[in-house]
Amino acid sequence: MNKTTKIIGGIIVIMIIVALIIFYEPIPKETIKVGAIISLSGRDSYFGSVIHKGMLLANKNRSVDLIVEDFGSETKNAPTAVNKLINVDKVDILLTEWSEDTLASIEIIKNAKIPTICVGCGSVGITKESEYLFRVWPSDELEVSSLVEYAKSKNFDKVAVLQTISVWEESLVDVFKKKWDKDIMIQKATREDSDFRTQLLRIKEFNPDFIYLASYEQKYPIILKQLRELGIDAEIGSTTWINDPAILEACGDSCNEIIVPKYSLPTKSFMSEYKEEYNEEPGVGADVAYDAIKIIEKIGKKSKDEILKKLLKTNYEGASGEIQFDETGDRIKREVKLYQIKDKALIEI
Amino acid sequence: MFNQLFINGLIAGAIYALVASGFSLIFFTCKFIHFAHGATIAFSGYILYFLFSSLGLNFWVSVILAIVFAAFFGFLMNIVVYKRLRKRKASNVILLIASFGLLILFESLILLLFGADVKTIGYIKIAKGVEFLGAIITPLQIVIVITSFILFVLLFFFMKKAKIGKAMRAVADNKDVAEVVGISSERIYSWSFIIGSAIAGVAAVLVSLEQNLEPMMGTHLMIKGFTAAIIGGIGNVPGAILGSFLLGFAENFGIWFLPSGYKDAIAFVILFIFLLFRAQGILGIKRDNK
Repeated sequence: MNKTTKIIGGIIVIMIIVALIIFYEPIPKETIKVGAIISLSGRDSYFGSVIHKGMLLANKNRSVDLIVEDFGSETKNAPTAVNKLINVDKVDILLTEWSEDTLASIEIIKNAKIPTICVGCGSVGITKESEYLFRVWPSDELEVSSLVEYAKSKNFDKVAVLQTISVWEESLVDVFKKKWDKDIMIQKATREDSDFRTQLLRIKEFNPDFIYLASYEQKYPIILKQLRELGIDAEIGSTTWINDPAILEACGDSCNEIIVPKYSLPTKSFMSEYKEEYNEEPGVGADVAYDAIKIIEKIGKKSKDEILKKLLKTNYEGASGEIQFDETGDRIKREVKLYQIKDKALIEI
Repeated sequence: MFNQLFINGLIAGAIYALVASGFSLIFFTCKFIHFAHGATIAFSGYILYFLFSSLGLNFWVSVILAIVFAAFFGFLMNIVVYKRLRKRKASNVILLIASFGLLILFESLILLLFGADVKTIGYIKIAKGVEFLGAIITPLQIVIVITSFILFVLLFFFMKKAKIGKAMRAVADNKDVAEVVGISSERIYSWSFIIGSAIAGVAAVLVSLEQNLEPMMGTHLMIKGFTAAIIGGIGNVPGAILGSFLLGFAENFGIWFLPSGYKDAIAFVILFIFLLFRAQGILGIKRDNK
């Protein structure tokens, strides 16, 4: 390295230090430290970024010290990320993303006795895994039950389920099987599949009245495309996650007529705040992520036991509606309504 | 039902064959596994999406530009990465590792530029397919099968009759002797990347229309294409095509009788059978290791 390079390098280092001194505002020590594990890269990074945006929006005034770890959409990386947040960053409370990464980290959470809020956990009974686990996303039992009731109200006799293989989808199908008492056929595929024709062919042979797509949301466009091309004629129900702007855009006309269970829509104030910040409609999950940060902000810097007690007493009116937890940490009081998609919009039925 | 499964296998086989033929052509000439061929497919598909859906260019102009991009992309990878490694006498293992690195690099770049959400190229209106002998096939799927067959025939005659095709065979057979008679091996490597990657561009266009776009689509297609190429005979282009159709039929008929989660298992079981009992593949030539 010659003299000129050293001088330039030195000037750059000094400029960085000066910029840090001028612009860096350290977070006060009395601010609650929140650790969040999110998929910011990899297969699930789209919804990970939606959740991240919801958190950042809620924390615009830096009322919580938010530390984010990217576990790269790989469940096996989640425990490592959680370990780092607990043992290195010494966070006061954890935020996890989905059922899979939460369950993978549950023993660490239990051992560390750290209050944890799952932003997108839908699996039935997941909060019973630990007294420290809460969730702002309601149990999937609600949305699945609404679809079962719909099928029963229409006097359908045969239901086919196309499921992708994962913890969350298994949970959805388990609820459906328990509540549906007539003919049912279940076809499975992996989340990596792009060709669902054989499974759809079996469904077509079965000739169902109703098809429940308990599938990974990113696969809805291709599943619906192949379903329509095969000329399968049945009513179709999906999970609530189909109602994401990006998924609806990718689906196009093939999404029309799909029955979607939907929780209460985000508040208008949240929608406009999000749109003003990011110049786009909020994706599914942004509102609950926003609420999770706001709930923690309200609790403030406390010991872990006190945080736990405060969480159990939560009564918060948020972007996703009223939030209360039962004694197991499960969110209660969230209403489900059924909608039908028409030209990328939801019409209540 | 048999007819529908046959059609499904034919479509899957055609897609795998488009991937495997370009990859096999590059292996045939350059004698190393270019795994980043999957990145060429993925990137070209996203370029088509960018040109047609984002910029609003005419669809056919976008298709031509996407295929030209694919050819140029492959050419660039050879010139910027592989040629330099070859100059340093890097082994084929090093080239393979480099190709993995390129695949990961470009798929991450796709994620960064286009996001992780699934994308569709809304050129063809989704509608019920046409009935043919009791099976349903869409016009696009017919185009995929016909295009792939035309390409394979053209590739066959290119390798047999065209000057560059003959030169490729000469370099593949014995690079040193080819150099002695005045054939520049580096020039032929470039041509094999251009042609192989252009085929990948065609695959990208058809797969993007048929299956939608995902950042990891290149890896998934390469795994199947690579498996098919091994089954057919690595380095043997007609073999790769044959192996692809065999794989397509085996998967679709196989998961009619087995649970659908076994689809990939069927592919790898066939691969292992060939590796154990006929390692040179269906049309490959057994080489004595004496």
